[in-house]
Amino acid sequence: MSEDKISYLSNKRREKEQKILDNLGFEDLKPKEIALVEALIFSSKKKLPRSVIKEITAFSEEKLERIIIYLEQKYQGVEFGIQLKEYNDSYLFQTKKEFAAEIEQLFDITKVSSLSTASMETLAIIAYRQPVTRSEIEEIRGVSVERTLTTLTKYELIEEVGRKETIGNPIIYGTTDQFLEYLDIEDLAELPEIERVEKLFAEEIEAAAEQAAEEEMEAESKKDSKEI
Amino acid sequence: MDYKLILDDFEGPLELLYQLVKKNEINISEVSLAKITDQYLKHLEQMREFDIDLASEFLIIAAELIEIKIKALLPVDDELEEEETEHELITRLREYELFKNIAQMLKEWEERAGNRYQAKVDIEELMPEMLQVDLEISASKLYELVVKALTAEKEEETEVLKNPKLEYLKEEKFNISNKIRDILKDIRQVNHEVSFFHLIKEENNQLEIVVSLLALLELMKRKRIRVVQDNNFSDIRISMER
Repeated sequence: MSEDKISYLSNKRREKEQKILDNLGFEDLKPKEIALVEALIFSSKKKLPRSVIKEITAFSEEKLERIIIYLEQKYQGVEFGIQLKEYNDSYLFQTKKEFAAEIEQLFDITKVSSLSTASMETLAIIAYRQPVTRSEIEEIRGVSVERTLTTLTKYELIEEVGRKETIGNPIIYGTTDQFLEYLDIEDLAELPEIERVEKLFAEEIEAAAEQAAEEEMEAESKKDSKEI
Repeated sequence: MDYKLILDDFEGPLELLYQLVKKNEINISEVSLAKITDQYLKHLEQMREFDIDLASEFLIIAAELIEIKIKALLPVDDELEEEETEHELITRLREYELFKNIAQMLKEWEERAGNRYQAKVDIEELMPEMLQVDLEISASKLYELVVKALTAEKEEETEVLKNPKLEYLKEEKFNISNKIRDILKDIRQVNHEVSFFHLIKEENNQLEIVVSLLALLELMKRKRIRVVQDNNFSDIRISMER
């Protein structure tokens, strides 16, 4: 049954894991050692940093890495309802997203919110320009973002990371680990570079334009054929 | 009667301009912005009719648009043209579009991420149960220890004629750093395990016992000594950490 694996992992991560496995494999890992890491992560209320696991188990970096890959891949199996997730070098067990509806029913969770466009745009600016002040965000948005910042802070997607050393010492904002978890990205490096985003959207627009042109041509040719 | 509508996420002038660019299917450039200047001004006029308070930013951008339009209408001066840089409004609008696109991408990620939940294992909540430990000691032994602790000699009060207007400092009879030195000396002397009961035997003074214990804890923290206690309330054996 565990042959059928649904991939929840990013391509980059899968490549990295495959490389490690090709070199070393899992054979020398002791079942008890794997179980210990699993127990530590399971018992932790918050995301458990790798450094803490290392300190407690005294496993080498390489060994711990393989144990985590082993667990991660094991829980990818469709017969498991939970998965091991990594955010910013910390680990936790989470339910798989396809069971969200039933879990929400169990715990009577009715309000599952997604962010408003304005909030998401503000969040995008903070993610790419952090650390950033409110006035710097407002310069880009062209409107006041005071309320939006309050909302994002309430959801713990952003936090105050300090004060800028300019006149008035304005607060500077940055994204949180919760932000990574919310969008299901392992670390900030996973955000594509600005140039790539620009290219991506330029291509999309081009493709759309081409398609529109083709459709127009088709319509024209149909019209022509009718006339004949 | 007056009704006022106050919106939370109110859309600003850049959003209006961006929507016009999208609606007219044009690129963001000075020539094209010059073309939609009239539409922008018309919108502002409508907003005024509906008695919407115009933020000053709307007017600033209106002014900038008019500036762009005038430039576009004026005959081009060939000599000046090369030096001309992009108008600031163009740069701003491009940046605005960029972050709209990124937000759209993040929105897709948000969708793809779905809702995942985690169990809230709270070790602290489980604690009270775990604290019901087995003492492994008889009632009479416990009584004996309690009596011993309670009857240990209290610190001697020295009578001094006091001037009520003055604060008197008390001499510090015991302090932790001295105690640490004493304990280490004791352990080195025997070069083997030392009993905690032995350490405090001759010093039947509550304060000194407390200071001894603190010194012991400090040494444990610094990993200078190894401390072993087989059962609760049994003797504590102290040896040097190797």
